[in-house]
Amino acid sequence: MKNKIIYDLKSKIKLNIKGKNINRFILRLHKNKIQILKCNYINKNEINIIIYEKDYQKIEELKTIYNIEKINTYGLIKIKKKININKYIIISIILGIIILKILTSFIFQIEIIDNDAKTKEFIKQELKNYGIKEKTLKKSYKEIQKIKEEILNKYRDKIEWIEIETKGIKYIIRIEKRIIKQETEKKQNQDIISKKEAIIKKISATNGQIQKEINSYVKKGETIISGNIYDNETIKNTVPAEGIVFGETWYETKITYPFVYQETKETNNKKDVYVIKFLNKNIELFNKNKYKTKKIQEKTLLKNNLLPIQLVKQNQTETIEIEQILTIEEAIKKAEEKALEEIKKNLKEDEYIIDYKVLNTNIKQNELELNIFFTIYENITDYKPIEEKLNNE
Amino acid sequence: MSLVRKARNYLLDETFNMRILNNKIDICNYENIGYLDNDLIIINYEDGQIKIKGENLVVSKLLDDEILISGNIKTIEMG
Repeated sequence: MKNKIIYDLKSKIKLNIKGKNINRFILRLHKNKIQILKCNYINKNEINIIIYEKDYQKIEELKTIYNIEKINTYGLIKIKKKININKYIIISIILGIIILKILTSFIFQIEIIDNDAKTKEFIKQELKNYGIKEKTLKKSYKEIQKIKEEILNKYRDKIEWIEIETKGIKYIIRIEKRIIKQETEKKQNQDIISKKEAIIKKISATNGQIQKEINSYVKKGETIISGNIYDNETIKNTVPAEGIVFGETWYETKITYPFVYQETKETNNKKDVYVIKFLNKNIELFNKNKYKTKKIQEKTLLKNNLLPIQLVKQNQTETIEIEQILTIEEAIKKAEEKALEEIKKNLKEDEYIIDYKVLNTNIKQNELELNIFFTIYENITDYKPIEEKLNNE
Repeated sequence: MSLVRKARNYLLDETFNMRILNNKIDICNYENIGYLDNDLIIINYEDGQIKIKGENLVVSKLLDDEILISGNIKTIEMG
């Protein structure tokens, strides 16, 4: 095949040779090492032959009484000839393609679709900062995605969503503004009370009058920061109390833990596998050493809407099943860890476990039961509106 | 030496061979053309010569190592 291509590309010439005793001429060519690729006898004294173009000059020297005429050309010489004839057309087409390519690589118009002129101007300016302006080169898809992301992150309070669409030599920018609900309603007068029974550990009041001291005990619903501003036991003013109160709270939890411990653990073995999914069948491609158990994260590469077939890329992580029979001490430790985990899950920012104590341990046939007492540093802020009547009193 | 020659022949395909087709003879690795006429063509090769007799014999292809003869072939003599 390769040889055929090389042969086809080699420059060849078709010659018409006329003269007496044409066989003698053929022998002469043969003696001079001229190869005849094809030979057609027209009559006794006339033949058409195809030779390599490099031998043509030799034939001209050997022709003597024979009349030689070039009829056709083949291979590279023919291509060259055609190019030479059509050079102006070819140059024009190439130039046209280059110009078209250059022109379509530029942006000549930016259209921002929004009713607000101010927003339009602000977006236009922002895009300019990222190099998106008229008569500049188009950005790549990746760059546009990055710019969109950066604008969204920068103006999270103003823009909900932005889309930059390329249409020929034009960018169409669509935006969705973020509507912030104005806090027009006046805040209601209120007290800050204790959410639960606790010992106060921290009070941060921004409005209102503090009624309790640090390390004082409060019951649920007791006022900690009052919205009523007192002066010698007379209410001078009523405001919406604002602030935050942290206190020490207590919980008793009961937790059970089995003596037979099972866990699925990930190993460090990971690989990407291409999978063809057909109905409920999964065909893994080029996956010789399959994991017995694994955790899979997959990404769809190709999907057919008509047929239930798709190609997905799976990120497989090998997992191992650990089964362990625990001693009482180990089970207690695991139960404690589980209880701590459960409590921590419910804690919010700035909240933490001060201390914990196992109150009692109940060993059953297959499991262990623990009662644990927790001391928590917790936000105990709650609000109670101040009624008008009370205010008037 | 013979082994080297055999290996060379195998790799370069330098052995003389002739294929007889319908009114055509394709000869590879010949040495030269001894005689050329419409009724007789003599081809020399390493170990002798081939005489091709017939009518309207013509050379259809003539390369350094290959020759294709067409025409009404009657006899082929090897010697």
